[in-house]
Amino acid sequence: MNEEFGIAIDIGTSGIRAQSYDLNTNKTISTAITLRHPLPGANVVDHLHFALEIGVDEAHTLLMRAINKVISNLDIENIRKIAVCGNPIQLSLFNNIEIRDLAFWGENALKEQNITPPSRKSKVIKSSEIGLDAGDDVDVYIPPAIKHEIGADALAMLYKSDALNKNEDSLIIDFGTNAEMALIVEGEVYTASAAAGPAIEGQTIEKGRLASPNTICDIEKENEYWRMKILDDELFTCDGDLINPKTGEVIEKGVFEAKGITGTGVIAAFSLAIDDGLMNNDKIYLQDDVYLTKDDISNIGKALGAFRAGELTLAESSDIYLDEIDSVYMAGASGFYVDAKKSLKIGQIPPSSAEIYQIGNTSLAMAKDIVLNPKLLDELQEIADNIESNHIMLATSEIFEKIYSLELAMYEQGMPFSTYKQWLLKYGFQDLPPIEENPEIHKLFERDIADSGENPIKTVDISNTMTTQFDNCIYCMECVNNCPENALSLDGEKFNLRSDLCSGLGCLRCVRNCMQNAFKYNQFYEKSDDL
Amino acid sequence: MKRFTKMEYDNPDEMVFGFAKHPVKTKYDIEIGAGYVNPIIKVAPKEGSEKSMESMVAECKNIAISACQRALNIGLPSFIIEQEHIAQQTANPEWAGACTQAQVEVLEKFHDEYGIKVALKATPADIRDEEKGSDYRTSQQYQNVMESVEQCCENGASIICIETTGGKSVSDYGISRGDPRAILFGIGVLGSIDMEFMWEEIVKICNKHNVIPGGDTNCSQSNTAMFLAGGLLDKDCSHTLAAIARGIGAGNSLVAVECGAKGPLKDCGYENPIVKAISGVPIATEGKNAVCAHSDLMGNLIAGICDCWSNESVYHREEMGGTTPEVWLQATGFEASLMNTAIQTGEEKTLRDLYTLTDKYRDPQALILAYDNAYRIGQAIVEHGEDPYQRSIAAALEVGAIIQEAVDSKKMQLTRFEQDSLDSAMRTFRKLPEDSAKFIKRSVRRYGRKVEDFDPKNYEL
Amino acid sequence: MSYKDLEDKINQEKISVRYNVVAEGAAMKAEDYPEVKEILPTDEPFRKIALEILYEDKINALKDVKKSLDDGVSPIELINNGLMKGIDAVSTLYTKGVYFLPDLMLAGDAMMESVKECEKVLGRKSDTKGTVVCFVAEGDPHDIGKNLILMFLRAGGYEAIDLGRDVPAQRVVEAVKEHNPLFMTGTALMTTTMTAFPKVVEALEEAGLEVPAIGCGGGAVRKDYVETMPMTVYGVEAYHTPKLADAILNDNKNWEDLRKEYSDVVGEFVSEYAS
Repeated sequence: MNEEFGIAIDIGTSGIRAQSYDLNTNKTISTAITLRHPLPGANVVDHLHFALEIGVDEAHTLLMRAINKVISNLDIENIRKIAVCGNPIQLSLFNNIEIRDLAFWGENALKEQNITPPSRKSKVIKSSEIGLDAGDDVDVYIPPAIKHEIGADALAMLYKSDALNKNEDSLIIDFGTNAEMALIVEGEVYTASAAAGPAIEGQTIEKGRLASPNTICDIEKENEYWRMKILDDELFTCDGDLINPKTGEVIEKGVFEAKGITGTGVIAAFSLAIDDGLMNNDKIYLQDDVYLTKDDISNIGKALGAFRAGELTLAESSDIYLDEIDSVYMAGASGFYVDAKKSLKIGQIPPSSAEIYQIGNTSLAMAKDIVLNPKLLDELQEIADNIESNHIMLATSEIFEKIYSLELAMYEQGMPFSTYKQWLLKYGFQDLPPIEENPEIHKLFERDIADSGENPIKTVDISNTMTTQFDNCIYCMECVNNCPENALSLDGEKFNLRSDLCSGLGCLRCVRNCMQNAFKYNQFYEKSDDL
Repeated sequence: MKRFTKMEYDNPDEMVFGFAKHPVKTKYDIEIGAGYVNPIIKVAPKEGSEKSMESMVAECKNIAISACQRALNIGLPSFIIEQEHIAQQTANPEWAGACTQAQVEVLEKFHDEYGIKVALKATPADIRDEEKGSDYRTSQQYQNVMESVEQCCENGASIICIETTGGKSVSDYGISRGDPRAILFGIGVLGSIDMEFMWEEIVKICNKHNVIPGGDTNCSQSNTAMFLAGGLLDKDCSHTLAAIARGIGAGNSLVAVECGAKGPLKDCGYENPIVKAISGVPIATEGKNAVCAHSDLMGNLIAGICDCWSNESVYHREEMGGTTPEVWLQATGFEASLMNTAIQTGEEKTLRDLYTLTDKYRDPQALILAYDNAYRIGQAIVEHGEDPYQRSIAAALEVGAIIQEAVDSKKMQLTRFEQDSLDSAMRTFRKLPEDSAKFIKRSVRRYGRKVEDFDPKNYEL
Repeated sequence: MSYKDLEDKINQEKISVRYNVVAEGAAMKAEDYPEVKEILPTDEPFRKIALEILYEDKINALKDVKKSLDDGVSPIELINNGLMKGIDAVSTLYTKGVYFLPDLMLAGDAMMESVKECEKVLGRKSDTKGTVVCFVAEGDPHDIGKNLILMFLRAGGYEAIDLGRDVPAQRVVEAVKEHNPLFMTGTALMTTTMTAFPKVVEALEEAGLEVPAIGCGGGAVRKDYVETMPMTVYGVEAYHTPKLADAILNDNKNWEDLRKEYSDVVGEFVSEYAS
């Protein structure tokens, strides 16, 4: 039998997801994912920074190496077509085109460095052009960005939510390290991108971690105590300890140990802390020496504040009240697994959200649609062209500045929420609507990837070790001991760095803790034969 | 319909209890607002009596007899019975007719025998269901309301009143969530639209039978805010917001008068001092002698410029001092006597001022109903009298100004919660569009989705 | 007795007590705080103008400042006895936790616009303690932090020159030549743009210029990064800036001193400088 296959790939900031499909039957055959991104760093700006500092080619090579490994784990031959999706930075790294235009804002830096923003319209390239290992030289479909900063990932959430074709006003947010937001009012689309990420994904939280075994991913209230929900080795949720969050007292021991807390866990803790009036406690105790500090709470608050301020800015710009929005769509893995009722209470989505759709990974879903029907690419370009107008750059928006400074006042200075609401009115903005008590929550699938095929999902190890040696090193081990992700190890006189684990240029605790000033981070990549 | 665009009174000091610019005269020699205050007794039939028309009629008759006997025993020159329907009476218009007839017969007999001045005020219930697709304006319930009005008129009622409930779904939403726009839309716009619709019909029926079309009240809306606001230590609804709802409610209750209601306006309309200041019609009010029904913070103040003084409502039952019609008529009757004594001795303005000052600074809700402040709110309303939406905003802003002045002059203190909700509402109102069509369009869209029972079709929107 | 006479006669406490106010305390107006009472002037038109700044009322502040200037009131006195008193009261309430960031922003705006009116009549810039130049790193659009810094500096009596966002190093050099600032601040939110700081330092050195200190701060900026180059100081909070400027002005401190004495200079414990 002459079977032919297509592949869809979503390149996300926290990992790669790929699926294969039988092109005759359109059936999903296999799914493979990674739990990491191959580039060091925990957010897309870190990836960008890495590419700028170390080199775009090196970044591209690391990325393609990981993607090829994922494809090989799909266990198929006769690949005929591949489609990808992701944000503009990931797709540019994939396509190996100019990315520096995404690193700077304004004309000055671009002019000075002679940067010409490339076209990010939809295109079809050959796999050989970018070092994609697909057996034969096959067509690779790259969907268009809507606009400079609003990428194909945002287009995917618009397209897959089908919100553009519904006669209602809706808000669609893809919760990643960056939140892509789109508000549709009477058919018109207003977009924005809120850089809220780090805290929400666990970064900048003292005990924060990406979703991985032995992390707290949710917390539920049991009487006056908190029940930890912990990811096991296969990333299923299991019961952890029952804890008194005020004292850390263990009320009931659970099965799994906790080593950190994920973004969704952080949101759960934040929400419960509001309920229980713990927002001003110096420490909120979770399981096994995992805790949240006052600073953590403030950081989470500010990150959530960026969502709320972004949503309000969009609503003010499009002249709609938040509670006039008919439906709210939450895309992305963390938008899928988070408890939507908590999101609404803590301001991640508008408090008045009455119809909430958790639509999962829309990037992969759109890539699948493309690979099964390549003509869709033209249609997507047309959609993208038509919604190119109303992008609101939050960093330069006066509305956002005013509202975000209220968030800062609240989470940094303890300004009461009632004063926050007063200020909104004082500025002439709308009041925040009351919390919807009985939202209708539509979770369309069981997992963020709707159909993973007959075979179990394969988790692909993309570990990538870079090795180097430093002059003047006295082997005090401070760098290794201070690495928050255990990405660094010493092998004789050589240091091994796991690129995929490393938090990258946003962290550099290894460099900072080196008393000899001997640790040169870039050297892993510059003088390494590994690339 | 002619909207009020100027005040019937030249200044607040002209207003006093027992006197209205436009007194009302009806059969059995009674006059209202013509120089004396009439006590009102209102008693609800006891539970179980709604089982049949016969038991209901007997119940009503007993209530009337008790009231008349006590009136004679304590020497009241005049009094009014209000028969406020329970749902079953209005739902069965022939019951309404029979109950009215039973009470009128009793009143007429006592009037004929002793010369006591009496009146029966009949108040059918607004039994319409406000929900989506309920055909508010044509449903069987609507027809029963109007048929009951007709029956009460035909069977001898002197005065017809009603408590219409238009806009309640939206204002309830606003009151429970602290949303000032919903309060304004529900009371000021929807309530006004519905009251106009209802009263054009009611006035027609009353005129046909030569019965006095009395008046309406914003009870179903601003009293909801008042009850939720509760006492000083309750916080379910801010007292400043409840005061604002009351101010807006005045523009609403005024609509009945604009449609031809002559007074006395319904007792539970705490906004009535404002309506009287604007229109000069006699009003009924209730306060400290309505504690059998509910608690309020303006027990004396609200008597300041009333024409009838009521007990609101009480179940028909035994108290130690007699049956409830006896006990509570005695309470309202003696209070009316005090007012009438003041009038006879020329001290009515002093008593009015004392009533007012006992409660003026007890609470913002009382403050704005002090007759001088009520007059100010009236002025704000008539300045924008042509447009129910705009006059609602004007009333709300004036309420805010009055409260703020009292705070600034250190006569009253507010909590942070009260002050914040006041500031917040004032800012919201100042920001609203001038154009009522724009506001209505937006609100229909907004609350059409948010409020389950609100159907714009019920208001022809 | 008239209604008013009766009302004036009443001791309200003997009639009714608002127990909710007893329980929670009354909502207090900004001018009634004792600390503010001490600051506010008593003479008109200064009191009125100071109150307008305190209540962030730009429109009326401008109106009354113009009117006073027309009436011949000295612009210097209007600034010192009216506008600055108002902003002083605002800062006091901010420190006390009654006012918050947005209050500072609005009141600061009202004050600056009013000062401009006074300067028109004065025919020159009013006297300030000194000049500070503020910029956002090249390639970076995020300027909330810089705007706060401007506000705090101006409230602290400094002339703060705003170079805006996305400022190339060469523009900073020109501004230093033009204004010869006492102090400078640079802010960046993105890790990709904080690399602008060494470029600024290099460009200044190339041009043979020096400033006593450049306070660098913002979301992505770290102390150890800032300290890899000369002339810079890692700035932790926006409200520290006038204190850093004071130290340079009054005690001749430079960037090296400030790095060592940061906590002492800003007068509070700063964990970033703890070790």
